[in-house]
Amino acid sequence: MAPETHTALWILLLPLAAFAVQILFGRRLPRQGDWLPTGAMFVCMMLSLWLFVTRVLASPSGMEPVAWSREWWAVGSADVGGFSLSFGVLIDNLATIMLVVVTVVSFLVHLYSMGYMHGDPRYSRFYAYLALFTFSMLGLCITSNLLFLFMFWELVGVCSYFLIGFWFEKKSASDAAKKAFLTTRVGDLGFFLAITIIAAVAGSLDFKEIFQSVADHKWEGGLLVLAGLLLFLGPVGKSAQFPLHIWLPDAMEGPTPVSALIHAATMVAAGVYLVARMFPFFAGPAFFESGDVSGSETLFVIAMVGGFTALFAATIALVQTDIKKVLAYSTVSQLGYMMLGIGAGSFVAGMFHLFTHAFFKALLFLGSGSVIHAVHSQEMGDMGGLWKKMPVTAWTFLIGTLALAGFPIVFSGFWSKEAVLTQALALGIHKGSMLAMLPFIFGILTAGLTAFYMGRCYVLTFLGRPRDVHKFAHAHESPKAMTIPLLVLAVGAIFAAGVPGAPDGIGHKWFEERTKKEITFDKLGIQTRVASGTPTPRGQPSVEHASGMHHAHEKAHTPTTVLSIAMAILGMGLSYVVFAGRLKNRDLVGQRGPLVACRGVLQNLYYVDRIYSKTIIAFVMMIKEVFFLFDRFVVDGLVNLWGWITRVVAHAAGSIDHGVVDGAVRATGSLTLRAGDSTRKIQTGRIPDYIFLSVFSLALIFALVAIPELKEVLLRIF
Amino acid sequence: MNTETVLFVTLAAVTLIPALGLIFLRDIVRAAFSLLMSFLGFAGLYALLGADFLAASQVLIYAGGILILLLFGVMLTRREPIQVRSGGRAFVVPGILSGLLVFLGSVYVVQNTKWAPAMGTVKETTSSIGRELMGRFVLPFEIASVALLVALVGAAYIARRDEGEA
Amino acid sequence: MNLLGPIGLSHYLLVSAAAAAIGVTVIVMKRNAVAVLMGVELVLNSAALNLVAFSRFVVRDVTGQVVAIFVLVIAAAEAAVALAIVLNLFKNASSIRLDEADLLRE
Repeated sequence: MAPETHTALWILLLPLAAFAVQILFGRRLPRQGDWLPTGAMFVCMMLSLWLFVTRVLASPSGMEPVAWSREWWAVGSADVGGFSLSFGVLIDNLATIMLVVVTVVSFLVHLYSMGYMHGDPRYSRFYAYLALFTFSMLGLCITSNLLFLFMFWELVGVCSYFLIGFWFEKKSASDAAKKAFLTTRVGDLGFFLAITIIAAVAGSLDFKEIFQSVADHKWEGGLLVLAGLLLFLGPVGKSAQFPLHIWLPDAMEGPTPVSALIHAATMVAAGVYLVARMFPFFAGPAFFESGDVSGSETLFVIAMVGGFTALFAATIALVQTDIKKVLAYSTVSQLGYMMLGIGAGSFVAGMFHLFTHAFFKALLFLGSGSVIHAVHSQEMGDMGGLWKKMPVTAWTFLIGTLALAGFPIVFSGFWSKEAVLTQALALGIHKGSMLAMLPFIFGILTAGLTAFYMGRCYVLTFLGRPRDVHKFAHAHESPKAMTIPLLVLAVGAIFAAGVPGAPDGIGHKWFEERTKKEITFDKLGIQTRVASGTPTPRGQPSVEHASGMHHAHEKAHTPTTVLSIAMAILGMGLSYVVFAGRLKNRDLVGQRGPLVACRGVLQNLYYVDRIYSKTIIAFVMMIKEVFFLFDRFVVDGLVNLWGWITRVVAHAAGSIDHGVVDGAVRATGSLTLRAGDSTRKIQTGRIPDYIFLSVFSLALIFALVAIPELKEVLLRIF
Repeated sequence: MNTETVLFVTLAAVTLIPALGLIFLRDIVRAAFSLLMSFLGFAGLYALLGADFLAASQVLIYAGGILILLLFGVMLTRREPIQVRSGGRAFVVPGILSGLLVFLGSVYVVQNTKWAPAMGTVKETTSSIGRELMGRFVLPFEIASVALLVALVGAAYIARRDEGEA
Repeated sequence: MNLLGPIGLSHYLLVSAAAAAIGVTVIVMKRNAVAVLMGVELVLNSAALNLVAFSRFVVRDVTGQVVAIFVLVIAAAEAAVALAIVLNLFKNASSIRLDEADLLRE
């Protein structure tokens, strides 16, 4: 077993062990054991960073994929349509990056919770859940098998249920947890169907085998698209894409550290990771041959869904008054961005955005938590002017905002967004159709909106005059346990895109160098018919290698950069102007004519929830009624019938027992009594009777003995 | 018809007819005397059988002892003149039946048994009896005396007069 | 009618049988306690007669007579005790009617 595998397993199992101990003994440990999972997470983080630095950063092309697996169960052979199941671990650049993201963010969240969750009655349980969640997420990232990924996927879903519904005394919280679980379940159904199809066609669920089956043209086009779309349903649910996005805003009912961990950095990223991991599958055989994946219908659907979701969510974020809800919709939007990037042909861009997003979104969530902690409210209507009171929070939040908005150069978000948008535009140019341009249009509009709403959020929260004087008076900076993670994440938000001056320079290059197609997929040893791509000379953008749209990409580069910078500055500036100027009874949204109508729609989230509730849920409820009635009448009827039969039988048995058995007993008794009674009558108590009896009997016996004939006579009579 | 036969028949009659009287006589005193006659008859029969000592003892003990006892019993338990029989049991039939059974049984046996032809001379019996009593039957003799003693004491005790009795 | 010939064992036996029969009849029939006792004595006497007869005609020695003496003795003892009981009965019940001696009856 290679050291990487070894390390990976340690990273995986430490949180599991921490969970086991924590759930069983947590409450009895000093400080309720918060140090245990946190410490474990620290170790895991160090290990992941070690892996990352020594393997991925060290060499220009990152690390060789290290795979380890054990076969578990096989029927037939892969070639002849059989099926085999094995489990194993795959460590490559992609996995390592995910490990870093998950462990770093998780550790910081653990730290943060020491302050935020202090005094909660189920404090130790919270840490146990965090540990379990981290374990599940890590497992998801390092497994080499789709089935096991699915298992961890589900496990992550379960943990999110626990964590979102952590304060289950609040009905809204438990409802939200249920909603999250059920919604992602719908997606998981598609995921599972896809798994069965893949198992049937590819004969295995190992990534390598799956990709090999794609490269070998085992899939007919239609089936591949179908399977791909079904598979994509999983991420649609888990990463809250339209139309299964409804659970994520409600999930804000959970504690803020949970929101940071799950919704900013990890769980929702699982969907993106899956799409990236299965990229060749979505892309089709063209991936291995020409490298031009623009022809894949599945990928285009992904891009469209992602882009649409991004725009859709951004519009809703505009009118939210709850700071966490703003961030929630922002997350949905950014996830759409990631999907957009991957769908447009560059899984590198998508992953890169995921990487940077993890940092600044977590930062923003934790920062919001800090604000909530200070003001005891989540409504921006109660905030304002907190700049003076909470400097650390304010500064770090600003960094996060700028990163998210895509403020150029300095902040990592700019680079990852640029990568996505460039790819989207390239797709549009490459294919040349209006339809193909849509993803890009969605993306660029979203960029503008993102800048705008984030600016609004920041202005309303930290700048200007306080809206609620009372709350303002009580506000204070948060404890170190909370602010340190903020600072760390702020650093990450800036430098996640690479350090200026490093050999690879800043930008996505260092990232992309290590996650590009050749490294991630070819090194798995997949045989393709056509040699893939040409080596990249240094200094040239090489994202196109993953998409094969060389020329389009070249052309797309400049316009994208210009536009994205423009959008960012425009958006932020506009927001400042609109919102900072008016302070007092500032309606947070906008009161002017046309906006009012929009506001209604937006505030009701486009009525998506309402539609769902009226249609699907109503339908499900109806089915539920049917089953309920069935249960009540048929099932319960049977049970009652059985009970009635039993009762009747018991009655009968009882009567038999009473009548027959007892009767026999009683008869015996009464018989004995009567016999005794009649026999007793001999004892008349009168002497003459006794004399008669004895003497007469004697005489009779005498006569019988003496006269044998008499005996016979008597015998014949009787 | 020789002397013996006549004697026998007479004595049998003397024995049996008063016995019948016992059955038919209502008054108990008359019944007692009737019984006396019967006892005497028995004694006569013993004599006829050559048991002279026994005949004498019979008269002495039975007629002179037991009968007196019975008479005393009758006298001491006399009651006021006859009260109406309180719907008493009529045991006549069963009584007769019992008697008949006994008789018939015995007759049957007697008839159907080959007895050895009788006859033998009558010896003098007293000394023989005496010898037997002290010889072969010494134990029964002693026991009989004890029995008599017991009976004596017992009877005396049972019939004793309690305090305040007339 | 049996042996009309010389007087033999059978004759005596018959007589004793008759006496015994009559005695039994008396025992069963009579309601007076003393009368019952008389019946008993009759039976005892018939037994003694039997013994003597056998002694004379079969055994041809005095064994039967000796036993008959014992019968006499015991009869006397028994009569004494029985009469004592009867006296006691009369004392308690003021009557020697056996059918009125029914205190044992419930």
